[in-house]
Order: sequence, then structure tokens, then C-alpha cells
Amino acid sequence: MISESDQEIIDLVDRGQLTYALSLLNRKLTKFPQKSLYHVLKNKILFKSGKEEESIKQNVAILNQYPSDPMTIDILSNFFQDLDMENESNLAYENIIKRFPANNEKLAKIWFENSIEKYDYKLLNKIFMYLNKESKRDYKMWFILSYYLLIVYGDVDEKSKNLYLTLGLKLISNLEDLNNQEIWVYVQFLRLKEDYEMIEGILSDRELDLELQIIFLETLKLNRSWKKLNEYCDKLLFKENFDDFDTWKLYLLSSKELGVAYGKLKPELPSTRNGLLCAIELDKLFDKSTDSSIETYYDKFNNKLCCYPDLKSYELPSTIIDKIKKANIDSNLITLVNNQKFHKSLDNWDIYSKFKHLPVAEFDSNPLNDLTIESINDLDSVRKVIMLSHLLASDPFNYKLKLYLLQIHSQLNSNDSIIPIYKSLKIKMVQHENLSHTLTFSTFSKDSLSYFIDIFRFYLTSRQEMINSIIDAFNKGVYNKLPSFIKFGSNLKNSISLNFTVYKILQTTFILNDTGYTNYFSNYLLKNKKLIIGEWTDNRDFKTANYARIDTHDTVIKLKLLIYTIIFETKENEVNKLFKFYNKMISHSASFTKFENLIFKLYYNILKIVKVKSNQNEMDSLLNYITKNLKIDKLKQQGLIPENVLSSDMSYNLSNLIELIRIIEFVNKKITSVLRKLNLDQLKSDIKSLELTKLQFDAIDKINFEFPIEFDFEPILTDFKSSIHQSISNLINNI
Amino acid sequence: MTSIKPFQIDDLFAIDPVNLDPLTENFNISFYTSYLIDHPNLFYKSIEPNNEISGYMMGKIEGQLSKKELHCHITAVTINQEYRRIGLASKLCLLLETIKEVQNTLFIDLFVKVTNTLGKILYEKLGYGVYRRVIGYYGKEYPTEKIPNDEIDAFDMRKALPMDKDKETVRDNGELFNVFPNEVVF
Repeated sequence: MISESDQEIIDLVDRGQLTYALSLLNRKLTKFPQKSLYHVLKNKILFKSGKEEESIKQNVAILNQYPSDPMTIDILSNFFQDLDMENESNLAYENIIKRFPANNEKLAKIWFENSIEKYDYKLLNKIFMYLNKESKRDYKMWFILSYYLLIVYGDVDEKSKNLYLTLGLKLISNLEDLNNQEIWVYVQFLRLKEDYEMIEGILSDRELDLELQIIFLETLKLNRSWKKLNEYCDKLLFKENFDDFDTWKLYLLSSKELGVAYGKLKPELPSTRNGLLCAIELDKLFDKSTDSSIETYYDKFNNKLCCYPDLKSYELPSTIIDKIKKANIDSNLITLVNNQKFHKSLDNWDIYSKFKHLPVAEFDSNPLNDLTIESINDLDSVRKVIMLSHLLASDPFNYKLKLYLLQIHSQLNSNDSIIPIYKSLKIKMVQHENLSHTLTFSTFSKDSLSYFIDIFRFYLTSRQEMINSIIDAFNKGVYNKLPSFIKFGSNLKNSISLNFTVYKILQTTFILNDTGYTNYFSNYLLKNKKLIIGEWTDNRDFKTANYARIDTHDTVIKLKLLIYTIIFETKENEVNKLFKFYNKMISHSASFTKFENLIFKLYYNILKIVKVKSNQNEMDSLLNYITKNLKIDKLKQQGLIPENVLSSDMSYNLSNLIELIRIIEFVNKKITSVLRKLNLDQLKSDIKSLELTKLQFDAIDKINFEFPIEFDFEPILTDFKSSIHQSISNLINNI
Repeated sequence: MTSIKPFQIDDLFAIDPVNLDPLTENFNISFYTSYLIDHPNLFYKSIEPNNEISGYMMGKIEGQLSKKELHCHITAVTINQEYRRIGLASKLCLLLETIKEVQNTLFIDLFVKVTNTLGKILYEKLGYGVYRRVIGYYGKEYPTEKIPNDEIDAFDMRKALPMDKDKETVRDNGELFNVFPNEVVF
């Protein structure tokens, strides 16, 4: 247990109140000069005060004295961890565990819990090896599972994989009375070894949970154990009423292999959705025409929305195509919706006119709009926004309309409309990870900043939640969920959406000149440098209602975060490393627009002047380049105002430019005044005189607002124009 | 062509078409992981061709047998709109009754908004009946009086399982029994 006064010092150091912390610490050290905790805390203060080498040297010395107090070990390990000194970070624990085996379990568990977020499978394996010395069954299973994780997710060569497979199998086959979770682990090793005979033997005559049941079915198929497979499927389908399409298919396959005739099997299939679809699969299995079965399914399910997705992968018989052609407008709405989808018809306005007033269940989306969405594809973006907004007014819970609208606003400069639509989707928690890219073009305002901060909080919370969940799953022996927990945690740790959120916050704070969060996020970037330049995972959902893919500018985001990190970094060697990486990235990115190219060249020059040592001649030439190019005419020549003035490139370019101006101002204020020679006031004034809103309104006025249906579009158009005006104002008013 | 598979936490990356439904709640991650850890067999999904998730069931076991409250609670059963009205929710509910852990309890229960008539009918067809009305269950503020309000009240619906041989855990005319939300916590 740590005393209250010690905890106070730890908190003070973490909060950066170093002087006060040091005074308290010195008092403690006078009383307890041998206590290693005080020495590592003092070194932490030294480090934070800039005496890095000294603090590292002293902490290495402490490491070699084998401190055994868990808090000292934790602080020491984290100290080295923050410096990327992985080996020393682990040795803080390992030295003691080796030296004092009596402390093994407690310390190894702390080591494990503190190491989870590294998602380092070799390290987990090593920690569990020490825990396994306790001869407890749970720890043995953890150790065994870690071999599986190493093989599946670890960066290991084939030879090592084979070794881990042998070791894992040997360990688990020595255990007796395995429960279903332990059996699951055993079976994973056997699957890797492709020993399906063994799996069949182990899983036969056991009561299986769903996970094992699926593996057993797959195994019986691979082993061509047709009789056993047939009997097992029979039990599941007919005795336990497990109406599962995959099981039905295996039942049909095994029956055929056992010589059961088509004519005997067909009547066994029920006239449920799965049964009727299995009839089609049965036809395919026996090389018979699927026409009649498809027709039977269509006749029964054409008035259900699943009809189209269920049948779309099959070739429709001519009889159905005739039915679709002959179907008249008096048919059921869902039937017509399905028919139009099969027919890939873009002209659905007659159906819309007839059914637009048909009520749908509260909170349901109107299926009619599945058709209207297809029908507006040919319209230009402005008319699409108006149509989608109109349709949404009478179908307010339709997420497809909303996502489409977000995608179209992202092609225009109506950025102000984006967050309200996103919010109306009630997107929460992990949904931000999947969908926050639809906020790429959202506007820059205090409200949007606070919304992105809320999204960022989700990541802070979920990070800890996943660590706790992984610990809990290990402790409770839920092995069949652990690989996906670990994969999920690792995918969430450094995702594009997380980095996008951080970037949006930084960009917005700079554009708004709101310095409230700068300190927090500069520390965040410096602490997470390795992640910023590392590989980002992509969990974004580009499948759901993806009618017009949003250009998410992933490379630009990475480069911008890199720029911010370089700006905030104070250590010369780190700056040089990051700058090299920046150069490498810009020289390998061929997909920049002319304007982006200019912006990143300007950043190159700025960083070179401000952060990287250059001689005077070079500095002059770099500054000349910036002076020459940071002029409105030059910027316009490079595409500041896109040819299509309604394109979102307009606000995108403008935000990039204003962000650049703000970064120069930040540098002038906080780092060096060398860029003060630049005439930013002139540039700002020139930007304000561009009359970008007017340019866009003029372009809108030239649009022929004809729509396939009649409605009063003026109020929507007014709102749309107001959104453009607000979005541009949000940018211009901030310079 | 629905198949049933165990839910995994990374399925959260792929359930937008289900969870963008305005009535489907999105929880924090540890809520999902707690179900996966403590009730892994009661959290499963229905999938369609191309592994598209069409719906899922989240259940848990709670209550004590000694108090005759041991039961399975359906926390969420939800279906992608494209796969509604084909009995998929019923299928997911019926599957629950075949799981051994559930069979060892007395009843299954769930909450449904009083105004959700379609939902109530669906559960009645499956053998559930209203056990009590929970006043202000969906309200933002905790109720102080037992005054019914259709907009924020829920029906606690139950289906007795074979373990409850004498059907002691269900009752007729449950609509008339009003309780506060704290009375339905086990």
C-alpha cells in the first residue's frame, strides 16, 4: 500500500507541479534515503525538467539494484517505456521475478496488466511463462493461449510458428477434464495443425456450445464424415429446431454424399425463408434448374424487403423477369421496390407519387426511398441536397437518406449542415469509429470543437475499457472471445478515425485560435509519436449506404499531425527524425492536388527554418520561397479557388490556408520570430476580399432547378445557401 | 438465408445497418464486453450471405432461484430493417430457449415500450405476457408517483420456462400492476 503523502507526490509529478513535488520529495529522502520509490520519482522530475541523460543514467543504476516495491517498478518501467526503452521497461519486472520467485505471481500479474495495451504477444507469452511457474491451471491456459496468439497475430516466422504450435499442443494435451472454453483453445491448435481427425474425436459425444458446434460441423465436412455430419445436422435441424442456413446446406450435402435422392430431400425442406432458399441450393447441388425454386421463393417473399438481397446473387428465371415487367403500379409497395431493384430501374417517380403518402410504422424508414435514392443519382450535387432534404422531411428516421446527405454535403461547401445531420443519427460510442469520417468536411466552430472533444473522450474511455475487459476475460477463462478482444483493442488503439479526431481538434483549435486544448494535445502528440508515424488501422464503414464516397484525405491527416508534432517537439534529434519522415512521406505521395502540394512545400520551408538547423543562405532562400508563394495571386494560381466553385475543395483549401497562417502565427509567438517578416495581414485582407460566398451563390443561381417531382424547394435552397454562407464565414471571420 | 453465429466484439465495426435504427441503443464498449465475458452463449448474431449481420440477441442470466427470480433477461434483440417482418426476431428469441443455461432458469423477460404495439404483439405470439408496467422506465427523470404515461412507460413481459412448473413467475392482467424502475432490478 502506498501512503497518502507518497501518492500526493506522485500526483504532483504527473500534473507537472515539479517544484513543489521536489520540495516534498527532498524531505522524504532526508528521512528515507534508501527508499527507491523516492529516487525514481526524483529522476522523473529531473527528466521532466530537461535533464534527460542524467535521469536515464540514474534510473538505469536503480534498475540494476533490483528494486522490489511494485510502485517503484511500475514507475521505473513506465519511465523506460515512455522513452521506447522496451528492454529496460520489461527488465524492471523481469529482474525481480527472476531474483525473488516468491513475488512472482503478484508482480507478473501487474506486469501483465500494465503490458496489455502494447499488444505485444511475445511479451505476453514471456509474462505467462513466469506465471505458469505457479502451477495453476488458469495460468497454464493463459500461457497456452499466448502461443496461439503469437502464431495468429504475432510477427513471427514459419519456423517459430511451428515451434509454438508444438509447444502449445504439448501443453494442452497434458491437461485433463477440459471445459468447453479450454477445448476451444485445444481445437484452435489442432486447426492450425490441420489435424481434423483429432478435432472430430475430441468434439464427438460432447455437449457443444455454438462456437464448438460450428467448428464440429466444419470438421465433419472436411473429414468427409458424411454419416456423422448428416446425423448431427438432423439432430440440430429436426430435433432442436435450429433453423440455420449453413446447417441446412451441410445436411443437404451430406445427404447427397450418402446417396439420398433429390426427390426424397426436396419435400423435407420447410416452406420457411431458409427452407425455400435451401431448395435453390439443393437444385444447384444436384445440377438441376433453379428456376422453379427461385420462383417459389419469389412468389412467397416478393412482398418482403429481404427478397432482393436474398435473390440478387442468383440468375432470375425468365418467368420472374416477366412477372416484374408485368407488375403494375397497383402491386404492393414492397413488391414494387424489390422489382425495381431487380430491374435496376432509375425511373421510380410514378411509384413515388402513388405511395408517398402511405404511412409506415413509427421509426421505420420508408422503403420507397430505397428507390428514390437510386433515381436522384443523375442530378448535380446541389439538386441532390435539395431532393434528399425534401425526402428526409417526410422520412425523418431514414439513415440511408441521412448518410447520403452527409456524403453530398461533403462534396459541397455546406459544411455547416454536416454535424446536425450526423447528430440526428444518434451516433454514439464505437459508431464514431465507424462513421466519423463523414465529418471530414464539417465546419470550424466552437460547437464542432466541443463535439470532436466528445468523440475523443470515447477513445480515452474505450482504451481503458478494453484493457479491463481483456483482464476480465483472462481471469474468467473466456478464451473464445479473447482473440477478438485483443484484435479489437489493438485496432482501436491507433485507428485512422482516432487520428482524424485528434487532427480535427487541433485544426479547429488553430483555426479558431482557441488555445484551451493546445497544451493537452501537444502532450498527446509527443507521447504518441510512435503511433502517429506508425501504421494506422482502418475500421471505417464505407459499406453502409455508401452512395458517394467521401474523400477522407488520409495522407494529408497523417502529414498534418506530423507537422504539429514537429512544431511541438523540442528535442533536436526527435525533430530531425520526424522531419525525415515528413520528407519521405511528401516525396512518396503522388496524389496531392496542386494546392496541397504548395501547402506542404510551404510547411517544409517553415519547418526547415524554424525547427531544423540551416545556414543563413539557406534560411534566406527558404524564406524567399514562402514570401513569394504566400500571396493571394500565387495561391489562386495554384488552385485555391477550384474551377467548380461549389466543390468542397473550396472550403478545404481555404481551411488549409488559414490553418497554415495560424501555425505561422503560433510559431512567431511561441518558438521564434523569424517568420515575422511575412506579410500575413495583407494575405488575410486579400482572403477576406475574395467574396467566396458570392461566387458560389452566383453559381447556384445558374442552376436550373428542375426536379423529377414537384415541391416547394425554395425553403430548402435558402437553408442550403445559408449553410454555405455560414461555413465560409466561420472560416473567414476567424482570420 | 439466415445463419446463427456467436457475436464477437469486432462485430461492432460491422453492425451500423442494425444499430443506426433509432430504437436500437448503442452502449459503451464495456457493456458489450461484459455480456461477452459473462454470458458468451447468450450473445449471438444472425448473418446473411457475404456475412452481412442482419440482427443480434444480447441476453443475460440474473436473479436468485431461492427468491424465484432466476431468469434470462433479453437486453437487446434487434434486426436490420431489410430483414424485418420475416420472423427473424422471433427466431432469435426462440433460439434462446434452447440454450441450456436459459433452460435452467424460471422465465425469460424483456422490456418493451408501452407504445410499441408491434413489438408487444410479436412477443405475445411467442408466448410472452405482460407481467407488470414499469412507470417511467424510459423517462429522463425518476418517477415519484405511479401515474402511467405511455410515452415513457415500459411493459415488463415474461415467458415462463419449463423449470417454473406451476407458472408462478407469470400472471394475467399484468398491465394493471404498476411498479417503479427500481423494483425491476435483480
